[in-house]
Amino acid sequence: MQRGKSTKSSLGLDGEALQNRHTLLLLIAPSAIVTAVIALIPVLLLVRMSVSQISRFGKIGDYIGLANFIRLAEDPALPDIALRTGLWTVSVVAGTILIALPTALILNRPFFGRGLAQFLILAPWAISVTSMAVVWRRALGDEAGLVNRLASTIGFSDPSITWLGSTSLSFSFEILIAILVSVPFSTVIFLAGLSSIPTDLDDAARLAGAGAIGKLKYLTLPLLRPFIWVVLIFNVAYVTNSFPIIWILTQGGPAHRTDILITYLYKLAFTFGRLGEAAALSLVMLCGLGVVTVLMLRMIERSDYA
Amino acid sequence: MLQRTDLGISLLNSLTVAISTAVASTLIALPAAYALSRFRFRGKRAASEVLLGSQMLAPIMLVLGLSQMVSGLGLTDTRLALVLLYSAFQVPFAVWMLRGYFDAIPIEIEEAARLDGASRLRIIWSVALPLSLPAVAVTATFAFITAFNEFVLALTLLRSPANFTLPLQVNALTAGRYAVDWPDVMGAVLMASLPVLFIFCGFQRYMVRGLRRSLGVT
Repeated sequence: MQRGKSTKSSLGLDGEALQNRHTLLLLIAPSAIVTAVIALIPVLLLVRMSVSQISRFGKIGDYIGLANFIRLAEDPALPDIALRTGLWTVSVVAGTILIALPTALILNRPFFGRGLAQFLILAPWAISVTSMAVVWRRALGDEAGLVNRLASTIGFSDPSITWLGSTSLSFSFEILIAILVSVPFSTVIFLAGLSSIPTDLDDAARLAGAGAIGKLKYLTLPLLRPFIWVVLIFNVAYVTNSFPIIWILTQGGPAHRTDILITYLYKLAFTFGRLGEAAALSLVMLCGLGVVTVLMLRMIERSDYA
Repeated sequence: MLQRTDLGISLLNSLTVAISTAVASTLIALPAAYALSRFRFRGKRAASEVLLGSQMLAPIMLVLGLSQMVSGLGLTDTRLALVLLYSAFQVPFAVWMLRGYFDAIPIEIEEAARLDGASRLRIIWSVALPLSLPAVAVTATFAFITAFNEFVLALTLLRSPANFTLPLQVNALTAGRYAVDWPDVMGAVLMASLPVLFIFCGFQRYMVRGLRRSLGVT
């Protein structure tokens, strides 16, 4: 990856090393303190809640050890929800990459109206997921829904399908919407990656007789690998925790069958008032995501980014 | 429609929260980004990995702890709580973004100022900062849009409709209602989308370029 060589030289002269160190700490302190506070205090509070008897309203009582974790592990709804979260994350992330990568490849070459195309593809990123979800709920609603009305205009006789009525159908729609929502940002990152490939390399490959597919396979994709990791880093967490789409379309229902861990966590905490178990689930999920993050950073390091 | 749905108030709330977040997070992140770009120190590589890794820390996972923290501070149902949390969560991304920009500014300019006898603080104030103003604008825009669109924390922390931000208002107009007044809802959606779309229109090129810089591509 290209880097400005400027980062390698340093302003500091030897005699000023100590003073430099103080300046460095001073400059980093605000960000470090803010980040530490926002990450550590909630985690400590969660730890305390997870090992305490706790009332519906958040009043913290006696120490009860791991009882909350055990109750959580015995929750019959949880295994399905965990599996569904895996399905959700893998489908959405894979779908996003499968759409964003070709889109970026197309947008990277000049054609008439490219500016407009780029704007149309990237602009949805700026719109809130909440708004999008609400519009989709409207579009997929029964009788008066836009999709059904469209179908009847085209000529289907009985268009009153309740798109969000069947669980598997509504979960599939939620996955589709989630993909659409994550495509723009991922496309930008891929575009950035593509613009890092020097054009003379491209020309050389063409002169050497590489076809479009060969070029993609042996030149473009390997050079894009670090960017694929960055897209994964940004997307996995975002998607695992993507809340508004499911919340607004189905609230995880009926009977938890469109719940993923994060919506279930929210319900445990704020609908069912099972705060202790919710705190335990939060901690388990944090650990899981932490492990995934470390693994991904390792992979990135290996593909030489950072 | 504006009065019937309190959209005016929500728009004002959203703008207040988003602008405060943009200013606060960028100001907090600026010095650290500069330091990470310009200083040589042990653990620099680790620092930038922590920075990238912390993008994975999503507020919603901590939402229960955060709401306890906020109620402990007596800030439940205030817009201030949102500003504080949004800003804090935005800091790692802002540092990451700004650092990319600083990396792209040739250090020779600063070295020249140093040879002319300027102190380090002086260099930061009158050389580095003016050069990084475009970066500051882009980073602040990212923070603005993120805060303007945030849903979960607002849903958890806000109670009274007078404090609702736009996404919350949009949700409140539809959620749990038997008969939803769709024209009102679509009006609300439009109002929640237009400001950010306008900003995105104006800033698109810079935001894309900004991301490229932060990814190490100039």
